[in-house]
Amino acid sequence: MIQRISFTLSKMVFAAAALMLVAATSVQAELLIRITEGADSAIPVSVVPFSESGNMPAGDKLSSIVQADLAMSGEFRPLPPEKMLSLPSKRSDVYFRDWRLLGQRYVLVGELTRNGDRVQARYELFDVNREERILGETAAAPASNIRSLAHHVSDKVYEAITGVPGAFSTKLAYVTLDRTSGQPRYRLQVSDIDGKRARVRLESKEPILSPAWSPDGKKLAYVSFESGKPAIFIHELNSGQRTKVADFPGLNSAPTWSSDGQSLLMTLSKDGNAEIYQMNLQSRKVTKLTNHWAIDTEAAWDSNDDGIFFTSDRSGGPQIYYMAKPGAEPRRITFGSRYNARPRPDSKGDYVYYVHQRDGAFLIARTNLKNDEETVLTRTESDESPSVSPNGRMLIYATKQSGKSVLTVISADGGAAYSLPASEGDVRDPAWGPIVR
Amino acid sequence: MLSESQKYQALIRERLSQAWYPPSSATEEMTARLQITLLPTGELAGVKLVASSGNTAFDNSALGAVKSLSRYPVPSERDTFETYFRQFTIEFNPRRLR
Repeated sequence: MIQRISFTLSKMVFAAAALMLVAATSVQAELLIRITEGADSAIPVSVVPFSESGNMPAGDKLSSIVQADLAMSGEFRPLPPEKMLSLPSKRSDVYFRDWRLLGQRYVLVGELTRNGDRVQARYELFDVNREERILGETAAAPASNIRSLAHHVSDKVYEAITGVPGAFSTKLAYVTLDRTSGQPRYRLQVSDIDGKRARVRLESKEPILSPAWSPDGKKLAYVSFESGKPAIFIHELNSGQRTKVADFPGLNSAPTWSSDGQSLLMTLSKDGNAEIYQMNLQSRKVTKLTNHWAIDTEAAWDSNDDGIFFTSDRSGGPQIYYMAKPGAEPRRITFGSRYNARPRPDSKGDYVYYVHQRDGAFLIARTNLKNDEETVLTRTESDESPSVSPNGRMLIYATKQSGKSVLTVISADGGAAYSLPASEGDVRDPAWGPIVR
Repeated sequence: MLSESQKYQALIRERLSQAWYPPSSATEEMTARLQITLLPTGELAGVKLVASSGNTAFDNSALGAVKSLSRYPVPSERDTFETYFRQFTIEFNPRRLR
């Protein structure tokens, strides 16, 4: 009892100091320490080179691809293999004390076995401080497809540690512009998210713009000027089959999909002024969703397909608006500067990302939809076309690097940046594909 | 002036903040409480999750942080140690996520 009283007293005496510390509870005489902030750096993780039995295909090793994936997310800091004290490939060879000494939090070990024309990976992930296995799996893929197997391992590791599905197996679509032959060459390409395994899906002398993934990852919608004016196409990636779905007089631009894949949002100016329409892909019927003398464009559904984000210059300059349902009075979202455009919400409804002009520079910013707080995420200055990864943790955008347009991946909170390997000419309009199960 | 006990609480808090990596699934609503037992040398004698955040990755990140310290800063004065640091509770609750 005496102890309790002294606790209450000390609590009063030190009320001013309580900001810095701790409240001793008076109910039980036990100390409580509150931790409200975490480390400000990426998680140290070791991806040990996998042991190999049988002939492995030439090219990048599975473990180096996993390491690069985790580093690219900005959330992990992989230990270079030359700093490892041992290279275990199974649990019995993992000495937790050694890894703790190196400051490591997680260790991934595994082995690869060649099995005919397939490669099998058996791998395990350990929590160094808890000395526990938190993931163990065997997965296989054709030997020609070791990158897919590696991205799969990265996805699993990412989810086991963070509780969020990984997005390393997803795809990117983007448009390159090559002027080397004297004549412009626009190429619509699809690649892994590290820029590897790029494949040209369409080539044209005329501009290709605004690729957008269908929710099942099987189709792309985009704008092509191949007929001399903008028209919206849907392109089936497996068959290569293309369908022109919108070819109205005037603008046909900025297509995005509804999450059921049954309709497209698009900007049309067929009635004289740029407005947002929804096209039912079965009937091809279009419904007008906005009606204003200003330009309304660049629409995207929110995470529930209830309302839409779009750009409008109804207040004088381009700003982001949100219409809670078709026909509702739009609410202005951005106020921080005179130019905010091309909104892209994440899939959880937490943030909307967009191009933001400040002091003459075009940057990528996001607004927290719960408290309207705006954060500028980039430090480059000609940034455009933000596209969020389907797990909401990474963001890709186009920017200028020594006069050329390139793609850069950052973590969605503006952390670590990773530039995709430069390809020939300019790269624009990145679109991050969905997680396909 | 900080008391001896408050000084060591601040030290522990600082060390744990540096050792804690909240997972990307963490939200500001999540709280995990761990009861820890120390030896007078500062070594960790035991840790128990007494209130889960409801998110395994979050709970594990808290456990990992607590277990990552090889030695806790504790007062050499025995009474203070026994009163406050033999057994206490640590609450992990992010206020400002990256």
